[in-house]
Amino acid sequence: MTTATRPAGSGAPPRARRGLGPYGILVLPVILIVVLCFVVPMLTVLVRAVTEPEPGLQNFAWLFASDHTLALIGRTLRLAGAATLITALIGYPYAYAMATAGPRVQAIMLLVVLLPFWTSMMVRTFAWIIILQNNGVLNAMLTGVGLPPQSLLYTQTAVLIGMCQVLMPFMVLPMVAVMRSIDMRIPLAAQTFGAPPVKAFFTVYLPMSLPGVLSGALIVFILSLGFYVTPALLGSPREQILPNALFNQIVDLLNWGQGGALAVALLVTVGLAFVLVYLVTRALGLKVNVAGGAQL
Amino acid sequence: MTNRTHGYWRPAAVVAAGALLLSGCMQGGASDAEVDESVFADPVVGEAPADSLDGVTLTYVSWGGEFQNGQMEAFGNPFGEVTGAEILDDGPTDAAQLRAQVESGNVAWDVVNASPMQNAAYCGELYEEIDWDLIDTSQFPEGMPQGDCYIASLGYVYGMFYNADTYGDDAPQSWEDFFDTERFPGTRAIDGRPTPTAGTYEAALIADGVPEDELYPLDLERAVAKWDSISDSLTYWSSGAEQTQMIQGGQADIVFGWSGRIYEANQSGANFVPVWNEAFLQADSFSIAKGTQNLAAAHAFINYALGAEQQQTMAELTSYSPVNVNSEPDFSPEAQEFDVSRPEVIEQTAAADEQYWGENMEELSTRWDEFLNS
Amino acid sequence: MRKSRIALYAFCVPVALWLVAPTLVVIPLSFTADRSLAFPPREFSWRWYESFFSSSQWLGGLLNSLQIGLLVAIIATVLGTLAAYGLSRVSGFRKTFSNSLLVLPMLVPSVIFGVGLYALFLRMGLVGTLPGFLIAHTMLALPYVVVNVGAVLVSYDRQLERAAWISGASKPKAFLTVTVPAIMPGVASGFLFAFITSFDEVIVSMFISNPYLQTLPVRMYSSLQREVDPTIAAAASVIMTITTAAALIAIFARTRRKADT
Repeated sequence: MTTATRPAGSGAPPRARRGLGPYGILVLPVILIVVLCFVVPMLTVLVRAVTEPEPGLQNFAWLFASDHTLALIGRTLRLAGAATLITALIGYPYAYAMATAGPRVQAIMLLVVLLPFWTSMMVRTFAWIIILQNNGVLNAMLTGVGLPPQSLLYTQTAVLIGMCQVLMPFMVLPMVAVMRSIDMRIPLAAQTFGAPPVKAFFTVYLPMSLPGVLSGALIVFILSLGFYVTPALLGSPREQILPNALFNQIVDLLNWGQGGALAVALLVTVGLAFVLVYLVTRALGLKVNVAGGAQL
Repeated sequence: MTNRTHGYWRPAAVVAAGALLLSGCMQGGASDAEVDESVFADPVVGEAPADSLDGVTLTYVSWGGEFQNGQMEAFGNPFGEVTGAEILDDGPTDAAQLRAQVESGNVAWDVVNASPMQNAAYCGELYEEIDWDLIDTSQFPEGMPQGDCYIASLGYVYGMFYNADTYGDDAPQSWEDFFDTERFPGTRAIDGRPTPTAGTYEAALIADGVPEDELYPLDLERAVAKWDSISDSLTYWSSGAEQTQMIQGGQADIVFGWSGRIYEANQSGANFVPVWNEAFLQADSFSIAKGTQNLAAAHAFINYALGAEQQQTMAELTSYSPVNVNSEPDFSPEAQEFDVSRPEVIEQTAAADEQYWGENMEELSTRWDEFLNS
Repeated sequence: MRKSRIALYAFCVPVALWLVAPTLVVIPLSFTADRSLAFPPREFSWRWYESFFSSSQWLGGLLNSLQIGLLVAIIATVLGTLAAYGLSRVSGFRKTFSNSLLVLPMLVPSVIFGVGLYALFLRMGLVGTLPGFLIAHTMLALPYVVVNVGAVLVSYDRQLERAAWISGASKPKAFLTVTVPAIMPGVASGFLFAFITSFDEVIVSMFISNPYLQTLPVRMYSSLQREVDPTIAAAASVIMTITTAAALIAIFARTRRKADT
């Protein structure tokens, strides 16, 4: 082996270098900026949870003692779970149709999923207000065909309609990425060996597409835990969720301690979701790409 | 091979990091000018000693937008012209921001347009106690909110407004009627914010038969039970705009809300009628940031802003009600109907104790939050 | 076409309509003559567009958003590309750790980040300032650049760059003339994502803005809270036109690129 060919193809530096190396020069400064501008602000919130109004765990005692805050956490989890389930059920057939369509149809379907992704969240939420209000577009259409009008704005249903629309790309794109890599000859082979198409789908195709579903579900679940704008504008004040309660504690009541405790609760929930998905995927031997929805 | 391998990356990273970390500078600051404070003794409302504040910089803080522009035009800028002070405006009023200033000892704000409840809650802590010798309240309407740390800066009403098209001649006229869902069926929109407007518990207690002079301390459980008894007929607004929106969107037949927002809905075609009887007189407030460098000047500013002419201009520009008995804003007949500073309106209204609300804000808002999310 | 395929498309068409159609409702509404969000509008008028383009708050918000978005996209693209390139050359714990840290801002609920930043910015006087917005939005945009550039770097053939070194080019020069053009698709997507992330951001921006420096989404949010003003419909239509144009350009560029290869 000659020295000229040795570096080729090896990812890591072949020998010790003088100075910092690519990590120290390229990555470390960015890491430092992220720590300083992202991690530190987050930490101050957590610190305030155990130092305000006085050092101690009283804010967490409050968090766990009150039915109100526990209900808050439960409601947040239910909402995120419902959003994940709905986007998965709607997104899967859509992703399947997209992954198995011809290039032209595929391009159109991609455009349809991406367009809302590019359209401002505020614009979309505002549009739902116009549509769902009592004398809005939906009720004009319903009464037009002789159906009774619905009072949907400021309900949890409205929140789900708006949230799922925003979250669809994050569910569909990872699914499509995995489905495209599935060799269609395998389910076909199962059929050739006598499995009915439905059975071939459930025993062969569905398990193979599962990493995409899990990636999508994880990112959708985590993103929906942090939704603030849609619930605040489309939802009922009677169905408050964690991010909105956090906002209220800090901005209206200046209660940084209890607000910090709510922030910890929210962070822990996100962390637990990660761990859960990690355990599930490891048990199933799958590889999940969290950032699937963030790629064009 | 050259030797200059690594060097180039560093500047790029440093420049990018520098751009990120570049920090802004603190706003405002203390005025160094010498002020003869004796000229502010024996104040006359709406007047300020000429050229008494040369070289002083005073910061007025309000909610921002057209509203604050109207206030600046009505009294902020004229006060500067008369006294020679430079008047800056800043905002929005934000107790967290004020607390950060007070805690850091670097108070940039002077006069703050806030809510009486906030002033009462943090009186002496974030807001200065007002020296009533420096403000002439002889033309201040009786019944308008005033406390140790605040005085009303404009008026409105928190009360019930019903759709005339729904109820016609047989309309609800009292809180008892509001809670009578059999005689007056229809959806009622009420305050759905975790910290509700002062008066929210009081309305339920009055409807439940508590005399107006025995409301305090509030019996929260009784009030919540009363609200709960009609919860099937309730819907909730969570901002001023949502009150207007709910009327225009057909979401509510009766709104327990703010007069300015209902007026706005009527302006665009709605037909909602105010019930002044037992409604709650509300106000924004003038208050002074704790630890201001310009205490005397801040008092002089408030004294000037409460003048008849200043309040009249403010009312015409913002369509809120003036807080000077001699102001006669040139309102249209429709706006006139919503001018709550008229004595015949004030006579009928009930009082929500802002002081009590401020002192018990945590408890009052926690209970309401729990009711909302039960 | 098989029956199951038809059924599949019969399911997908309503889904597609749900994704795209509702938002379009803001366009007709922006031409209403009334000060109301009632639909359908009774009369045609340009007044809300006049209101949008003559208001320092609305038009100023749009200009702020464009300016902040562009600056953030530039800063985040430079930082993110450098980091992703550096990460492609290391492995093991450092890589896993750094990758996780860099995508963190995408996953942590931004209300927590907003609250934390707010507390710090209050003390540092950064609320309502351009540097404040650049710091906040760059953090949120960075993950998208790292992910998109990283994805392209996986399939990038490092030998090209090494060949340039051997021919005497300095490492930075080789990076700029050989590597950057090769990973350009990823860099471009990262840039677009970064711009949109900043342009669209509401939650953190609400905490760190004040009436003197507001972005358009914050202006829209506070408009919805404060008044019933159809100017927001005109604003929404303007934003939709801008972002749809950007998206169409991006997507067509992408399909062209695919067709070329």
